[in-house]
Amino acid sequence: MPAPSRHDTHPLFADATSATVRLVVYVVLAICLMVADHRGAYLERVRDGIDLALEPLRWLAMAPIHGTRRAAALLVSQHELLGERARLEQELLMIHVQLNRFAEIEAENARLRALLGAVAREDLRAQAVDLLALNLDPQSHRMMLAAGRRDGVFEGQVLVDGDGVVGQVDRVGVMRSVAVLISDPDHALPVKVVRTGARLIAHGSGRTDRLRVPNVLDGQLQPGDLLVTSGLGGRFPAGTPVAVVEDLSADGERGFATALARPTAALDRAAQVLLLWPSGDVLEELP
Amino acid sequence: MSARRDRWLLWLALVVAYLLSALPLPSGLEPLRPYWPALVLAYFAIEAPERVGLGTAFAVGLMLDVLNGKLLGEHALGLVFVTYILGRVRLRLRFFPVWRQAFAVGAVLLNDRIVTLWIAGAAGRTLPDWRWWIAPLIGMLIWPWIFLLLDRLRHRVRS
Repeated sequence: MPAPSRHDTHPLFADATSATVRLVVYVVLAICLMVADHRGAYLERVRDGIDLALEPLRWLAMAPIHGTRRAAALLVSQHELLGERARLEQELLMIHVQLNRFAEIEAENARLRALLGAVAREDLRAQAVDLLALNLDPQSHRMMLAAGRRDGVFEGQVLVDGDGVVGQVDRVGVMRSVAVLISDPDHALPVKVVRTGARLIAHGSGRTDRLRVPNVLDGQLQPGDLLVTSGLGGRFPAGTPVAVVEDLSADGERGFATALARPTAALDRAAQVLLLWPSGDVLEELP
Repeated sequence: MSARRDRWLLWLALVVAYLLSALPLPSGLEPLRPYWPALVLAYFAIEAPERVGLGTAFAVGLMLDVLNGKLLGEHALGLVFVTYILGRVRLRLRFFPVWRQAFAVGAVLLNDRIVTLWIAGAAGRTLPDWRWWIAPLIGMLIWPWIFLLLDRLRHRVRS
């Protein structure tokens, strides 16, 4: 893939100007690419092409990690497996009981909403997707998903696990996509305090065990409060758990406080997440 | 013949460098991870510039951008600078003892971090904290070993 080096044809004392000219050409090219990529999806084709060509490399990088995981899974004793099965069966039973009650409440809720003339809550479709055990960039909290455009993944799609919001899809490739976690320093998520109904914004902190909630007014929050998605912005379905408030500190003379909250989802340990589709029709459209 | 083997060694080393970069580490160790592909390119830019031109650096950078889901051109820009700077001073560097070379390579890696910081700023991202500056230092410290290892491998495949 590299351009054949023109160095070979140069005389021994190749003039420095030609090297500098080429530097300038490449720098300008790189900057144009970055701007085009930042502004929109003009380069989707290029990206997809390189991405598919490099997929074997990714596979190679994952092989040792997945091999170790498989070996570890094989080495689990039967005793442990039986114990885990019993625990899971019990858990399933509990969840079923809760679900039955929930179905009743949901029906009642729909009736009440109809009475009030309110819009019905959207149905969600979810699908489990593997996370690739690859390091992308230590500075930003990103993960690679083993699903892409051909699986119906779209930009901005929401990722959750059993306990809460994990993040959203940032970049979609053909077979893979990159998701940004809610703990990324550049991620902001509209949340609601369950206890008081106050609407706030939860920012990533760069640490997977902590979110930062600035501009808290007196009485809106206290440690132990649960934050859920508020549904503002339209990306995240309302009412999904996000984080539990741990600490509240005054913000100086401005009269606001900043809260620190611990995400309910296992951001650093997840090997699988659920991708949410806003309604049932996205998947059906695919061939 | 030996030239073609050289090229094989370059791409093999780059693949290994990518694998080392992709390997997940506990998050506490993450800032210590050196910029492996840049170290490999640095060796070839100093010792075998006919193998690594600006075009190669650019292509490797684009591949890394796609693999890591970054903006197309981010790694490419940094690696083009690394290769260019080392190419300009290579005649002097080659006669340096390896530990003095390490300082030069460290400076180039530091410069690469500054370039990346500039891109992050231009793209409106949050700027990283102080741990961001550890990686070039680690790169500098391990340079002598990288250099000796690649040098030995290259002489072995050539003969």
